[in-house]
Amino acid sequence: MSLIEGRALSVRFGDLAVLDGVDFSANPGELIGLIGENGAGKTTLLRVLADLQAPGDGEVRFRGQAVGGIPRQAYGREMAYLPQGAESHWPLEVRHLVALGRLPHRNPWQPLAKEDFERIATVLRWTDTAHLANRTVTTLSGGERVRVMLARALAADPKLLLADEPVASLDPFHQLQIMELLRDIARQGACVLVVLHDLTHAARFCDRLLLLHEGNIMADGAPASVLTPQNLEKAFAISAQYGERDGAMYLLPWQRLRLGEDESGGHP
Amino acid sequence: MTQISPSNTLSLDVAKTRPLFPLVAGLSLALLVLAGLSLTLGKVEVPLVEAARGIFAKDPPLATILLVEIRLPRLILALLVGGTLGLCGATLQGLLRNPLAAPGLIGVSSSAALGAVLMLYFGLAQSFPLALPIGGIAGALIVVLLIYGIAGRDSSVLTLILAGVAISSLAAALTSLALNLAPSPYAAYEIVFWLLGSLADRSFDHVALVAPLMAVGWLMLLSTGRALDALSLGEETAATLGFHLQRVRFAAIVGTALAVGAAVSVTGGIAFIGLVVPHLLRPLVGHQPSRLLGVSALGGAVLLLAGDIAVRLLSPGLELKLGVLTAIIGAPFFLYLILKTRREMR
Repeated sequence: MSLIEGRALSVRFGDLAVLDGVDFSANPGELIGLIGENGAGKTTLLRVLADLQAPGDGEVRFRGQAVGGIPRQAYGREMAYLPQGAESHWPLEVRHLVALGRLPHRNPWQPLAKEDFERIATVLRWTDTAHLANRTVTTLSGGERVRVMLARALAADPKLLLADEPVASLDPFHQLQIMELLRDIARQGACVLVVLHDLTHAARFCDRLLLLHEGNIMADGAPASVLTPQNLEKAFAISAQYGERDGAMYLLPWQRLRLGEDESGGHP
Repeated sequence: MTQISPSNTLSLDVAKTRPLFPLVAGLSLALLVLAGLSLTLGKVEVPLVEAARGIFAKDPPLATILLVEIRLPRLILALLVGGTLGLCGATLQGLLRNPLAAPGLIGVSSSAALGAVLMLYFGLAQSFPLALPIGGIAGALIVVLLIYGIAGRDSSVLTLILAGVAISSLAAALTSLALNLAPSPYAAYEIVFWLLGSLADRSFDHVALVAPLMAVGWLMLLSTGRALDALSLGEETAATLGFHLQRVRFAAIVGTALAVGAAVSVTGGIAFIGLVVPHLLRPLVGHQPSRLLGVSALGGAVLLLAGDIAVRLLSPGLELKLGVLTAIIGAPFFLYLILKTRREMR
């Protein structure tokens, strides 16, 4: 049985079908990249899987059980959601912020226990943020903040991690660091679903890619089978330069294949 | 990557938490000293020990009567009301993730005031002494029903605030109407004076009336602590951490309505305590919303009690109203907060 499964998921905002009958399933240990143009429905799909939004049609099953029927706190112990541009509203200390990830494991008045502290220490080290434990989160750089937020998500020891563009605003060094970390998390047995815009990251690090296009899954499979010139043209309207290094594929978006709206004629 | 092997030194370091004890001890000590002052201070000198001894006497001396019937209820109300304002302010600031939120924001204070003013206006306050607080509580409860009626059960925080602003304005307008149509200048004077806010001449009947409502409100507010912590990460993440935001909002808003409604109905309007106290104490608890709740209640009690003692010292004759004092000190502080926040936003 797969870990999480979506059947015929549809979400409409008014007349707009953001998701239009999406079927997919994911297994433990997989790092799955969710790619597609802006507005293809990537974030909506993550939110539906996180039970933040009920699908208008279809259902999400986690370990065979309908997600809507799982108590929120119980689901919080299994699934962690890292929203895009995650921030803290208060200038909390890093260790307190990361400790928030343990909330699903605690009863309402139960203080942090030994296993909580051990897990917090582990994820701090894992994300290379242990030296920041006593810093205030508002004083961190962008890369440090993303790692701290990721540590918060990992603190719950999730079996399913849903991360929305975690590397979007990072420099190349930290992009590679986070991608490696996500791959390691998957190797430890969790299922990681990550929204990406960088196609080379998607090709290099992910076991499997889901290409969303206009609310549908256009391709689902190994990176090489998804990132074909035909699919890139159809889904992104681009052509790319392909290459290979150390046995891994990379690709460089090179040319647009349709004109933008502001240059589609009308000019003298 | 480093393998998962928790090192003990690191876990200990993570576990080390800034202790709340010195802060709580300091506030408690201040509270004790002020409470002693509040009991001894007044036109008539009351020797505390003697008066306390008289409590169990068959024929209590004047000092005992003065202490038990007048100064003690005043002290207890100051603690209850101050604690309520501090706790509600801390809860609402956590819920809205905004340091400028105050208990009056959701319209409860002005509606409770309106309820009490209507009792004065229709002359019911003369017929039985608890008419004012009962009217105030009724006003606060009606407002909660209204807010939820207008905004619906599954509304956003913004809708709730806007509904609160609208209701506040309406309640203020109706209060003005009551003043406008007041049958005599004396009636209008009575209303205005009540609105200014004071703890003077309250009895144990007031305490008995409001304490149960406040207790229920406090429990609801304290139950939101963990959820407020989670809300530091935003509403969506808090939801994925296992919290039902509708329930949290319900507990915070109905709890505030019960506790602040009850507070306003016995004291009239006392501004800025709920805004200022959590703001002052927040850095001392590492900005953690759940740890702020209890200390804010304590801090609110200290500040209100200090204010009440100050008005008694400043104006032994015609008493300066407590609400006036808190507003005069609170408003410039509020302005300072706004300017400071604006600097930080830049």
